[in-house]
Amino acid sequence: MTTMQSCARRGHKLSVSANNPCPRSVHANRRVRKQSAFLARQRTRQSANRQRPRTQTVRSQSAAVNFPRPRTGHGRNLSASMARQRIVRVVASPCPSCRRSISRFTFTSLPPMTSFDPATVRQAVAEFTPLRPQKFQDLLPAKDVIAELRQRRASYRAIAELLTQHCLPTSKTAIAAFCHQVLTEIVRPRRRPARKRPASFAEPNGRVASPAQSEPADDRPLPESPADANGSGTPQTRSRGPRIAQVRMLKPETT
Amino acid sequence: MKRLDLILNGKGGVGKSFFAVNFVQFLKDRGIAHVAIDSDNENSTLKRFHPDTRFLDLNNRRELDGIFSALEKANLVVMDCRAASTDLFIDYFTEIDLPAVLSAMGATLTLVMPVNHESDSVDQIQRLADQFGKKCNYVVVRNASHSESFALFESSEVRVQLKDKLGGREISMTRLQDWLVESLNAENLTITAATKHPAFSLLDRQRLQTWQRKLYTEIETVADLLMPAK
Repeated sequence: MTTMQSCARRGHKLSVSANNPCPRSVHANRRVRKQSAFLARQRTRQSANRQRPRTQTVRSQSAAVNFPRPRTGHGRNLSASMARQRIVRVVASPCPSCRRSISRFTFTSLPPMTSFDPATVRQAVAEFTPLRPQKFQDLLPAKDVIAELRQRRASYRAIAELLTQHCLPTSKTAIAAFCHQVLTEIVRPRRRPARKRPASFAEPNGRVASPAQSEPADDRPLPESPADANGSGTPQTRSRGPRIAQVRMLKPETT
Repeated sequence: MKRLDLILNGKGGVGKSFFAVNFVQFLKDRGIAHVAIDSDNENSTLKRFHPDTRFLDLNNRRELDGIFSALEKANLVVMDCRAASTDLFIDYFTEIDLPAVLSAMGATLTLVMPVNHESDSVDQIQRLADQFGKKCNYVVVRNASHSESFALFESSEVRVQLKDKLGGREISMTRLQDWLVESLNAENLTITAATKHPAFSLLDRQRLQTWQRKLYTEIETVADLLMPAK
Protein backbone atom coordinates (compact mmCIF):
# COMPACT_ATOMS: atom_id res chain seq x y z
CA MET A 1 0.00 0.00 0.00
CA THR A 2 1.44 3.34 -0.92
CA THR A 3 1.51 6.31 1.34
CA MET A 4 -1.07 8.08 -0.73
CA GLN A 5 -3.45 5.19 -0.53
CA SER A 6 -3.01 4.86 3.19
CA CYS A 7 -3.65 8.53 3.68
CA ALA A 8 -6.74 8.44 1.54
CA ARG A 9 -8.07 5.47 3.48
CA ARG A 10 -7.66 7.38 6.72
CA GLY A 11 -9.80 10.20 5.39
CA HIS A 12 -7.06 12.80 5.13
CA LYS A 13 -7.44 15.34 2.43
CA LEU A 14 -4.21 15.55 0.62
CA SER A 15 -3.50 18.50 -1.49
CA VAL A 16 -0.96 16.47 -3.42
CA SER A 17 -2.61 14.13 -5.82
CA ALA A 18 -1.08 11.06 -7.39
CA ASN A 19 -3.01 11.88 -10.53
CA ASN A 20 -1.69 15.36 -10.73
CA PRO A 21 -2.40 16.59 -14.26
CA CYS A 22 0.60 18.88 -14.20
CA PRO A 23 3.69 17.07 -15.46
CA ARG A 24 6.40 17.15 -12.86
CA SER A 25 10.04 16.61 -13.03
CA VAL A 26 11.49 13.48 -11.48
CA HIS A 27 12.95 15.55 -8.69
CA ALA A 28 9.62 17.12 -7.92
CA ASN A 29 7.97 13.69 -7.72
CA ARG A 30 10.72 12.46 -5.45
CA ARG A 31 10.09 15.41 -3.20
CA VAL A 32 6.43 14.55 -3.13
CA ARG A 33 7.15 10.96 -2.22
CA LYS A 34 9.58 11.90 0.51
CA GLN A 35 7.26 14.42 2.02
CA SER A 36 4.34 12.05 1.79
CA ALA A 37 6.32 9.47 3.67
CA PHE A 38 7.17 12.05 6.27
CA LEU A 39 3.52 12.97 6.59
CA ALA A 40 2.57 9.35 6.99
CA ARG A 41 5.03 8.94 9.82
CA GLN A 42 3.77 12.09 11.43
CA ARG A 43 0.18 10.99 11.15
CA THR A 44 1.02 7.69 12.73
CA ARG A 45 2.13 9.61 15.79
CA GLN A 46 -1.18 11.47 15.76
CA SER A 47 -3.25 8.34 15.71
CA ALA A 48 -5.11 9.31 18.89
CA ASN A 49 -7.47 11.49 16.94
CA ARG A 50 -7.29 10.94 13.25
CA GLN A 51 -10.19 13.18 12.34
CA ARG A 52 -8.76 16.35 13.73
CA PRO A 53 -7.60 18.97 11.26
CA ARG A 54 -4.11 18.85 9.94
CA THR A 55 -1.47 20.91 11.59
CA GLN A 56 0.06 24.04 10.17
CA THR A 57 3.29 22.16 9.56
CA VAL A 58 1.56 19.75 7.28
CA ARG A 59 -0.15 22.53 5.39
CA SER A 60 3.03 24.36 4.80
CA GLN A 61 4.72 21.24 3.52
CA SER A 62 1.84 20.56 1.21
CA ALA A 63 2.06 24.08 -0.05
CA ALA A 64 5.71 23.61 -0.74
CA VAL A 65 4.92 20.55 -2.73
CA ASN A 66 2.22 22.27 -4.68
CA PHE A 67 4.32 25.29 -5.40
CA PRO A 68 7.53 23.89 -6.66
CA ARG A 69 10.35 26.14 -7.56
CA PRO A 70 10.76 26.96 -11.20
CA ARG A 71 12.17 24.04 -13.05
CA THR A 72 15.55 24.30 -14.58
CA GLY A 73 15.56 22.09 -17.52
CA HIS A 74 14.38 18.77 -16.14
CA GLY A 75 11.13 17.44 -17.48
CA ARG A 76 8.81 19.11 -19.92
CA ASN A 77 7.90 22.74 -19.88
CA LEU A 78 4.39 23.54 -20.89
CA SER A 79 4.52 27.27 -20.34
CA ALA A 80 5.35 29.78 -23.01
CA SER A 81 8.26 31.22 -21.14
CA MET A 82 10.23 30.76 -17.98
CA ALA A 83 8.18 33.44 -16.30
CA ARG A 84 5.02 31.50 -16.93
CA GLN A 85 6.32 28.36 -15.47
CA ARG A 86 5.21 29.35 -12.04
CA ILE A 87 2.09 27.40 -11.42
CA VAL A 88 -0.40 28.02 -8.73
CA ARG A 89 -3.21 26.05 -7.28
CA VAL A 90 -6.51 27.77 -7.88
CA VAL A 91 -9.15 25.24 -6.89
CA ALA A 92 -9.09 22.02 -4.97
CA SER A 93 -12.17 20.04 -5.69
CA PRO A 94 -12.81 16.57 -4.28
CA CYS A 95 -12.63 13.70 -6.66
CA PRO A 96 -16.12 12.14 -6.80
CA SER A 97 -14.76 8.60 -6.83
CA CYS A 98 -12.12 8.70 -4.10
CA ARG A 99 -12.82 11.97 -2.36
CA ARG A 100 -9.24 12.95 -2.89
CA SER A 101 -8.39 16.51 -3.59
CA ILE A 102 -7.36 17.24 -7.12
CA SER A 103 -5.37 20.35 -7.83
CA ARG A 104 -5.92 22.34 -10.94
CA PHE A 105 -3.34 24.65 -12.33
CA THR A 106 -3.39 27.51 -14.70
CA PHE A 107 -0.97 30.01 -16.11
CA THR A 108 -0.58 33.17 -14.14
CA SER A 109 -0.21 35.51 -17.12
CA LEU A 110 -3.53 34.67 -18.67
CA PRO A 111 -6.67 36.00 -17.03
CA PRO A 112 -9.26 33.37 -16.16
CA MET A 113 -11.95 33.07 -18.75
CA THR A 114 -15.58 33.15 -17.81
CA SER A 115 -16.52 31.59 -21.12
CA PHE A 116 -14.65 29.89 -23.88
CA ASP A 117 -13.16 32.48 -26.21
CA PRO A 118 -11.56 30.93 -29.27
CA ALA A 119 -9.60 34.08 -30.03
CA THR A 120 -7.99 34.16 -26.62
CA VAL A 121 -7.18 30.51 -26.78
CA ARG A 122 -5.78 30.99 -30.22
CA GLN A 123 -3.55 33.75 -28.90
CA ALA A 124 -2.37 31.55 -26.08
CA VAL A 125 -1.64 28.80 -28.52
CA ALA A 126 0.28 31.17 -30.74
CA GLU A 127 2.36 32.30 -27.80
CA PHE A 128 2.99 28.76 -26.68
CA THR A 129 6.50 27.75 -27.53
CA PRO A 130 7.78 24.81 -25.60
CA LEU A 131 11.11 25.64 -24.18
CA ARG A 132 13.30 22.60 -24.57
CA PRO A 133 16.38 22.67 -22.42
CA GLN A 134 19.61 22.34 -24.26
CA LYS A 135 21.21 19.03 -23.69
CA PHE A 136 23.95 19.15 -21.06
CA GLN A 137 23.28 22.84 -20.56
CA ASP A 138 24.54 22.55 -16.99
CA LEU A 139 27.70 20.75 -17.96
CA LEU A 140 28.59 22.67 -21.10
CA PRO A 141 30.24 25.54 -19.19
CA ALA A 142 32.51 22.94 -17.63
CA LYS A 143 33.34 21.29 -20.92
CA ASP A 144 36.98 22.30 -20.88
CA VAL A 145 37.37 21.24 -17.29
CA ILE A 146 35.86 17.85 -17.94
CA ALA A 147 37.96 17.35 -21.05
CA GLU A 148 41.10 18.20 -19.13
CA LEU A 149 40.16 15.86 -16.33
CA ARG A 150 39.53 13.10 -18.81
CA GLN A 151 42.93 13.72 -20.38
CA ARG A 152 44.36 13.22 -16.92
CA ARG A 153 42.54 9.88 -16.86
CA ALA A 154 40.05 10.95 -14.24
CA SER A 155 37.13 8.60 -13.89
CA TYR A 156 33.55 9.67 -14.45
CA ARG A 157 32.89 9.24 -10.77
CA ALA A 158 35.87 11.41 -9.81
CA ILE A 159 34.78 14.15 -12.21
CA ALA A 160 31.22 14.04 -10.91
CA GLU A 161 32.41 14.30 -7.33
CA LEU A 162 34.73 17.17 -8.14
CA LEU A 163 32.04 19.15 -9.95
CA THR A 164 29.54 18.44 -7.21
CA GLN A 165 31.98 19.84 -4.68
CA HIS A 166 32.25 22.97 -6.80
CA CYS A 167 28.54 23.75 -6.94
CA LEU A 168 27.77 21.84 -10.09
CA PRO A 169 25.90 18.80 -8.81
CA THR A 170 25.96 15.99 -11.31
CA SER A 171 26.31 12.26 -11.49
CA LYS A 172 28.85 9.91 -12.98
CA THR A 173 26.23 8.70 -15.47
CA ALA A 174 25.68 12.24 -16.70
CA ILE A 175 29.42 12.77 -16.96
CA ALA A 176 29.76 9.52 -18.91
CA ALA A 177 27.00 10.53 -21.32
CA PHE A 178 28.54 13.98 -21.67
CA CYS A 179 31.95 12.52 -22.45
CA HIS A 180 30.51 10.13 -25.00
CA GLN A 181 28.20 12.54 -26.76
CA VAL A 182 29.91 15.91 -26.40
CA LEU A 183 33.55 14.99 -26.08
CA THR A 184 32.97 12.09 -28.51
CA GLU A 185 34.89 9.61 -26.47
CA ILE A 186 35.00 6.17 -28.03
CA VAL A 187 32.87 3.69 -26.21
CA ARG A 188 34.65 0.37 -26.05
CA PRO A 189 32.35 -2.38 -24.91
CA ARG A 190 33.86 -4.86 -22.57
CA ARG A 191 34.89 -8.01 -24.33
CA ARG A 192 34.89 -11.39 -22.77
CA PRO A 193 38.18 -13.16 -22.89
CA ALA A 194 38.25 -15.49 -25.84
CA ARG A 195 37.52 -19.10 -25.04
CA LYS A 196 40.49 -21.29 -25.26
CA ARG A 197 40.02 -23.90 -27.93
CA PRO A 198 40.97 -27.37 -26.85
CA ALA A 199 44.01 -28.87 -28.45
CA SER A 200 41.92 -31.69 -29.83
CA PHE A 201 38.31 -31.90 -30.82
CA ALA A 202 35.90 -34.75 -31.04
CA GLU A 203 34.54 -35.89 -34.33
CA PRO A 204 30.88 -36.75 -34.60
CA ASN A 205 31.71 -40.38 -34.57
CA GLY A 206 33.21 -40.17 -31.14
CA ARG A 207 36.81 -40.30 -32.23
CA VAL A 208 39.22 -37.72 -30.94
CA ALA A 209 41.27 -36.01 -33.56
CA SER A 210 43.84 -33.25 -33.47
CA PRO A 211 43.33 -30.16 -35.63
CA ALA A 212 46.83 -30.59 -36.99
CA GLN A 213 46.26 -34.23 -37.74
CA SER A 214 46.84 -35.05 -41.35
CA GLU A 215 44.31 -36.96 -43.36
CA PRO A 216 44.84 -40.70 -43.30
CA ALA A 217 45.80 -42.31 -46.57
CA ASP A 218 42.85 -44.64 -46.35
CA ASP A 219 39.45 -42.99 -46.64
CA ARG A 220 37.76 -45.64 -44.61
CA PRO A 221 36.97 -44.65 -41.02
CA LEU A 222 39.34 -46.05 -38.49
CA PRO A 223 38.05 -48.31 -35.76
CA GLU A 224 37.05 -46.30 -32.72
CA SER A 225 39.13 -48.07 -30.14
CA PRO A 226 40.19 -51.35 -31.55
CA ALA A 227 41.46 -53.98 -29.22
CA ASP A 228 44.44 -55.89 -30.35
CA ALA A 229 44.38 -59.56 -31.14
CA ASN A 230 44.73 -60.46 -27.50
CA GLY A 231 42.12 -57.98 -26.43
CA SER A 232 44.59 -55.99 -24.37
CA GLY A 233 44.06 -52.67 -26.13
CA THR A 234 43.14 -49.73 -23.95
CA PRO A 235 40.03 -47.80 -24.95
CA GLN A 236 40.40 -44.21 -26.12
CA THR A 237 38.50 -41.37 -24.59
CA ARG A 238 35.10 -41.21 -26.21
CA SER A 239 33.05 -38.16 -26.92
CA ARG A 240 29.58 -37.87 -25.47
CA GLY A 241 28.38 -36.00 -28.51
CA PRO A 242 26.37 -37.32 -31.41
CA ARG A 243 27.60 -40.51 -32.93
CA ILE A 244 26.78 -41.38 -36.51
CA ALA A 245 26.96 -44.99 -37.54
CA GLN A 246 29.86 -45.73 -39.82
CA VAL A 247 29.77 -49.39 -40.69
CA ARG A 248 32.96 -50.66 -42.21
CA MET A 249 31.95 -52.58 -45.28
CA LEU A 250 33.84 -55.40 -46.88
CA LYS A 251 35.97 -54.61 -49.87
CA PRO A 252 34.55 -55.84 -53.19
CA GLU A 253 37.19 -58.53 -53.67
CA THR A 254 36.44 -60.14 -50.31
CA THR A 255 32.72 -60.53 -50.96
CA MET B 1 32.25 -72.54 -15.67
CA LYS B 2 29.88 -69.70 -14.94
CA ARG B 3 28.36 -67.69 -17.72
CA LEU B 4 27.29 -64.09 -17.96
CA ASP B 5 25.05 -63.39 -20.95
CA LEU B 6 24.68 -59.72 -21.73
CA ILE B 7 21.97 -58.99 -24.28
CA LEU B 8 23.38 -55.75 -25.55
CA ASN B 9 23.06 -53.45 -28.51
CA GLY B 10 23.07 -49.71 -28.09
CA LYS B 11 20.52 -49.32 -30.84
CA GLY B 12 16.96 -49.34 -29.57
CA GLY B 13 14.22 -51.46 -31.06
CA VAL B 14 16.47 -54.21 -32.35
CA GLY B 15 14.77 -56.88 -30.25
CA LYS B 16 16.92 -57.07 -27.12
CA SER B 17 14.06 -57.33 -24.70
CA PHE B 18 11.97 -59.51 -26.99
CA PHE B 19 14.80 -61.97 -27.30
CA ALA B 20 15.52 -61.73 -23.57
CA VAL B 21 11.93 -62.58 -22.68
CA ASN B 22 11.99 -65.64 -24.89
CA PHE B 23 15.50 -66.68 -23.90
CA VAL B 24 14.60 -66.56 -20.20
CA GLN B 25 11.49 -68.54 -21.04
CA PHE B 26 13.70 -71.04 -22.83
CA LEU B 27 15.81 -71.41 -19.68
CA LYS B 28 12.70 -71.89 -17.59
CA ASP B 29 11.26 -74.42 -20.00
CA ARG B 30 14.54 -76.33 -20.00
CA GLY B 31 14.88 -76.09 -16.25
CA ILE B 32 18.20 -74.29 -16.39
CA ALA B 33 18.95 -72.38 -13.20
CA HIS B 34 19.70 -68.77 -13.86
CA VAL B 35 19.31 -65.22 -12.60
CA ALA B 36 17.63 -62.75 -14.92
CA ILE B 37 18.39 -59.06 -14.60
CA ASP B 38 16.63 -56.14 -16.25
CA SER B 39 18.44 -52.84 -16.44
CA ASP B 40 15.92 -50.83 -18.42
CA ASN B 41 14.39 -48.37 -16.02
CA GLU B 42 12.07 -46.89 -18.63
CA ASN B 43 10.79 -50.01 -20.36
CA SER B 44 11.32 -52.94 -18.06
CA THR B 45 9.93 -55.42 -20.53
CA LEU B 46 11.78 -58.42 -19.16
CA LYS B 47 10.46 -57.78 -15.67
CA ARG B 48 6.95 -57.30 -17.03
CA PHE B 49 6.90 -60.73 -18.58
CA HIS B 50 9.03 -62.39 -15.91
CA PRO B 51 8.23 -60.73 -12.60
CA ASP B 52 10.94 -62.70 -10.81
CA THR B 53 13.54 -60.76 -12.75
CA ARG B 54 15.84 -58.54 -10.73
CA PHE B 55 16.27 -54.90 -11.58
CA LEU B 56 19.50 -52.96 -11.64
CA ASP B 57 19.68 -49.20 -11.97
CA LEU B 58 22.40 -48.38 -14.46
CA ASN B 59 22.59 -44.83 -13.16
CA ASN B 60 24.07 -46.14 -9.95
CA ARG B 61 27.48 -47.48 -10.81
CA ARG B 62 27.75 -49.55 -7.65
CA GLU B 63 24.48 -51.29 -8.45
CA LEU B 64 26.20 -52.77 -11.45
CA ASP B 65 28.29 -54.79 -9.03
CA GLY B 66 25.08 -56.73 -8.48
CA ILE B 67 25.76 -58.48 -11.77
CA PHE B 68 28.76 -60.21 -10.27
CA SER B 69 27.07 -60.72 -6.93
CA ALA B 70 24.43 -62.68 -8.80
CA LEU B 71 27.10 -64.51 -10.73
CA GLU B 72 28.70 -65.63 -7.47
CA LYS B 73 25.50 -67.41 -6.49
CA ALA B 74 24.33 -68.67 -9.86
CA ASN B 75 26.08 -70.33 -12.76
CA LEU B 76 24.15 -68.34 -15.31
CA VAL B 77 23.20 -64.69 -15.26
CA VAL B 78 21.21 -63.21 -18.11
CA MET B 79 21.03 -59.45 -18.29
CA ASP B 80 18.85 -57.43 -20.61
CA CYS B 81 20.69 -54.17 -21.19
CA ARG B 82 18.76 -51.12 -22.13
CA ALA B 83 19.42 -49.16 -25.29
CA ALA B 84 22.16 -46.53 -25.29
CA SER B 85 24.09 -48.33 -22.59
CA THR B 86 27.08 -49.48 -24.63
CA ASP B 87 29.36 -46.73 -23.39
CA LEU B 88 28.23 -47.30 -19.87
CA PHE B 89 29.11 -50.98 -19.91
CA ILE B 90 32.39 -50.36 -21.68
CA ASP B 91 33.38 -47.85 -19.02
CA TYR B 92 32.26 -50.10 -16.22
CA PHE B 93 34.10 -53.14 -17.52
CA THR B 94 37.21 -51.05 -18.05
CA GLU B 95 36.93 -49.75 -14.51
CA ILE B 96 36.69 -53.16 -12.89
CA ASP B 97 39.07 -54.88 -15.30
CA LEU B 98 36.53 -57.36 -16.57
CA PRO B 99 38.92 -60.12 -17.68
CA ALA B 100 40.48 -60.23 -14.23
CA VAL B 101 37.10 -60.35 -12.52
CA LEU B 102 35.81 -63.08 -14.80
CA SER B 103 38.99 -65.06 -14.37
CA ALA B 104 38.74 -64.78 -10.59
CA MET B 105 35.14 -65.95 -10.68
CA GLY B 106 35.76 -68.68 -13.21
CA ALA B 107 33.22 -67.16 -15.54
CA THR B 108 32.98 -66.22 -19.17
CA LEU B 109 31.10 -63.41 -20.84
CA THR B 110 28.92 -63.78 -23.88
CA LEU B 111 27.59 -60.76 -25.69
CA VAL B 112 24.24 -61.52 -27.29
CA MET B 113 23.74 -58.82 -29.90
CA PRO B 114 20.49 -58.59 -31.83
CA VAL B 115 20.84 -56.98 -35.22
CA ASN B 116 18.37 -55.83 -37.82
CA HIS B 117 18.46 -54.14 -41.19
CA GLU B 118 19.59 -50.76 -39.83
CA SER B 119 23.17 -49.60 -39.98
CA ASP B 120 23.05 -48.34 -36.41
CA SER B 121 22.57 -51.83 -35.08
CA VAL B 122 25.49 -53.09 -37.18
CA ASP B 123 27.62 -50.20 -36.04
CA GLN B 124 26.93 -51.09 -32.42
CA ILE B 125 28.12 -54.64 -33.02
CA GLN B 126 31.22 -53.28 -34.65
CA ARG B 127 31.90 -51.10 -31.63
CA LEU B 128 31.49 -53.97 -29.23
CA ALA B 129 33.69 -56.27 -31.27
CA ASP B 130 36.35 -53.58 -31.55
CA GLN B 131 36.19 -52.91 -27.84
CA PHE B 132 36.09 -56.40 -26.39
CA GLY B 133 38.02 -58.34 -28.98
CA LYS B 134 38.68 -61.82 -27.68
CA LYS B 135 37.70 -61.02 -24.13
CA CYS B 136 34.25 -62.53 -24.65
CA ASN B 137 32.10 -64.70 -26.87
CA TYR B 138 29.64 -63.34 -29.38
CA VAL B 139 26.20 -64.41 -30.50
CA VAL B 140 24.48 -62.33 -33.14
CA VAL B 141 20.69 -62.64 -33.25
CA ARG B 142 19.37 -61.77 -36.66
CA ASN B 143 16.02 -60.28 -35.85
CA ALA B 144 13.68 -60.47 -38.84
CA SER B 145 10.77 -58.78 -37.16
CA HIS B 146 11.12 -55.66 -39.32
CA SER B 147 12.90 -56.97 -42.35
CA GLU B 148 14.32 -60.24 -43.55
CA SER B 149 17.10 -58.46 -45.37
CA PHE B 150 20.41 -58.18 -43.55
CA ALA B 151 22.40 -56.85 -46.48
CA LEU B 152 24.23 -54.27 -44.40
CA PHE B 153 25.29 -56.73 -41.77
CA GLU B 154 26.21 -59.40 -44.30
CA SER B 155 28.43 -57.03 -46.22
CA SER B 156 30.06 -55.57 -43.15
CA GLU B 157 33.58 -56.19 -41.98
CA VAL B 158 32.47 -56.93 -38.47
CA ARG B 159 30.56 -59.98 -39.55
CA VAL B 160 33.69 -61.51 -41.04
CA GLN B 161 35.66 -60.38 -38.04
CA LEU B 162 33.24 -62.07 -35.67
CA LYS B 163 33.03 -65.30 -37.63
CA ASP B 164 36.64 -65.72 -38.59
CA LYS B 165 38.61 -64.13 -35.78
CA LEU B 166 36.43 -63.93 -32.70
CA GLY B 167 34.48 -67.17 -32.89
CA GLY B 168 31.12 -65.46 -33.05
CA ARG B 169 27.98 -67.28 -34.10
CA GLU B 170 24.69 -66.25 -35.57
CA ILE B 171 21.16 -67.33 -34.95
CA SER B 172 17.90 -66.14 -36.46
CA MET B 173 14.74 -64.93 -34.82
CA THR B 174 11.90 -65.11 -37.28
CA ARG B 175 9.04 -62.72 -37.48
CA LEU B 176 6.10 -63.27 -35.19
CA GLN B 177 2.76 -62.07 -36.46
CA ASP B 178 1.76 -58.62 -35.28
CA TRP B 179 -1.52 -59.63 -33.71
CA LEU B 180 0.19 -62.32 -31.71
CA VAL B 181 2.79 -59.87 -30.40
CA GLU B 182 0.01 -57.45 -29.52
CA SER B 183 -2.01 -60.11 -27.74
CA LEU B 184 1.00 -61.30 -25.77
CA ASN B 185 1.70 -57.73 -24.67
CA ALA B 186 -1.92 -57.07 -23.86
CA GLU B 187 -1.98 -60.06 -21.51
CA ASN B 188 1.66 -59.81 -20.40
CA LEU B 189 2.06 -63.45 -21.33
CA THR B 190 5.10 -65.29 -22.50
CA ILE B 191 4.61 -67.68 -25.37
CA THR B 192 4.72 -70.69 -23.07
CA ALA B 193 1.98 -69.19 -20.93
CA ALA B 194 -0.02 -68.11 -23.96
CA THR B 195 -0.12 -71.62 -25.38
CA LYS B 196 -2.22 -72.57 -22.35
CA HIS B 197 -4.27 -69.40 -22.18
CA PRO B 198 -7.90 -69.31 -23.32
CA ALA B 199 -7.49 -65.85 -24.81
CA PHE B 200 -5.62 -67.41 -27.71
CA SER B 201 -7.33 -69.53 -30.30
CA LEU B 202 -6.11 -72.97 -31.21
CA LEU B 203 -4.52 -71.77 -34.40
CA ASP B 204 -2.85 -68.85 -32.70
CA ARG B 205 -1.50 -71.17 -30.06
CA GLN B 206 -0.16 -73.37 -32.84
CA ARG B 207 1.47 -70.39 -34.47
CA LEU B 208 3.07 -69.42 -31.20
CA GLN B 209 4.36 -72.92 -30.61
CA THR B 210 5.80 -73.13 -34.09
CA TRP B 211 7.58 -69.85 -33.70
CA GLN B 212 8.90 -70.78 -30.29
CA ARG B 213 10.13 -74.14 -31.49
CA LYS B 214 12.15 -72.47 -34.22
CA LEU B 215 13.73 -70.05 -31.79
CA TYR B 216 14.54 -72.76 -29.28
CA THR B 217 16.21 -74.75 -32.05
CA GLU B 218 18.30 -71.74 -32.94
CA ILE B 219 19.23 -71.12 -29.32
CA GLU B 220 20.31 -74.70 -28.89
CA THR B 221 22.74 -74.36 -31.76
CA VAL B 222 24.65 -71.82 -29.73
CA ALA B 223 24.03 -73.34 -26.33
CA ASP B 224 27.76 -73.79 -25.78
CA LEU B 225 28.11 -70.00 -25.90
CA LEU B 226 25.05 -69.21 -23.84
CA MET B 227 24.94 -71.87 -21.15
CA PRO B 228 27.34 -72.54 -18.30
CA ALA B 229 30.05 -74.98 -19.33
CA LYS B 230 29.88 -78.33 -17.60
